[in-house]
Amino acid sequence: MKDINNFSTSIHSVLKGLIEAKSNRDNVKFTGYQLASALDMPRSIITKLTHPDVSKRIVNPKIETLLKIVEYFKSDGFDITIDDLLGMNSPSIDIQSQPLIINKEIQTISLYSLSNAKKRLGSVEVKLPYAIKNAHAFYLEEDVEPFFKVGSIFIVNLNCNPSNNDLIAIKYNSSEKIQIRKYCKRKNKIILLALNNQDEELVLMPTQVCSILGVVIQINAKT
Amino acid sequence: MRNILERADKFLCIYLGLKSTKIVPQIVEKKRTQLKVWHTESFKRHVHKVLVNKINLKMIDDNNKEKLGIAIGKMIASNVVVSFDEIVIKKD
Repeated sequence: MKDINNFSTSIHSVLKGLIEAKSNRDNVKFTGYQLASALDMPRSIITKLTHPDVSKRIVNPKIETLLKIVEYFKSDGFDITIDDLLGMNSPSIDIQSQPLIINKEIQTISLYSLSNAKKRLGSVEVKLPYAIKNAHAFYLEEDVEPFFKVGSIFIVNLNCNPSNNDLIAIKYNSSEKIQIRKYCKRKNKIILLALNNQDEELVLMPTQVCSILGVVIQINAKT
Repeated sequence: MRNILERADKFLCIYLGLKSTKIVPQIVEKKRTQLKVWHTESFKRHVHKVLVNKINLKMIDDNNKEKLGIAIGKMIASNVVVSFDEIVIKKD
């Protein structure tokens, strides 16, 4: 079941990206409805494939549907395969070519709970890639799939404006709970993706009752 | 001659398991929502693929651990580093 959800996540993001890329390239708004018309299929199928809510997405689309989508975008000049649509062509990074950080700064930072921003747990001494004037550390109190375990610590630079693909800490005005999200700019929208790729994504609006605390610069992962 | 004997001794000790083998992480990849690490082990010719949270960090030296953290950070987001340093919490 988990794998099927993962497929739906990748189809969702790849298909949304393709629709946006086509709109940007042609300078004409292209919608899921137009895609459905071009493919001669019900609009609801495309809507369900690109639905922002994971629980409302199609989790098992027909191969015929996927092939039609791929063929459509290929004939329109996009270099896409069915593997790309399913997220099978995974990105990778060569570990050995990563440069080591030579001059690390040792700093003592106040530690707070991620589930309650007012709850000070003490302080931690951490080695950081560079010195930060105003930082907070947040203690993870529940596992975040697929990687972070209880006890992991997120170091947040409070004097930094987020840029595309940064991890940020946000806090809802109505609650003391802090969430770690990925800040993504898509066209004119700012989307806040969940760290676990499972929770619903948020669209940052001026009316949103949450504030950005800062940018995560280091995660001390509990192993 | 002495150097050669010392090297042979070291090699045999590692080969016989008298000293712990080392893991050298090579590639971190994102497969759907999972992060996997490709790594090699001493005296084994094939490449192992494990989930990031299943890798045995005790068998990785500090430099490779740091490189692994940097690569995982880049895979997760921009401008973030993952550190595997032990942290002691000083309570107020």
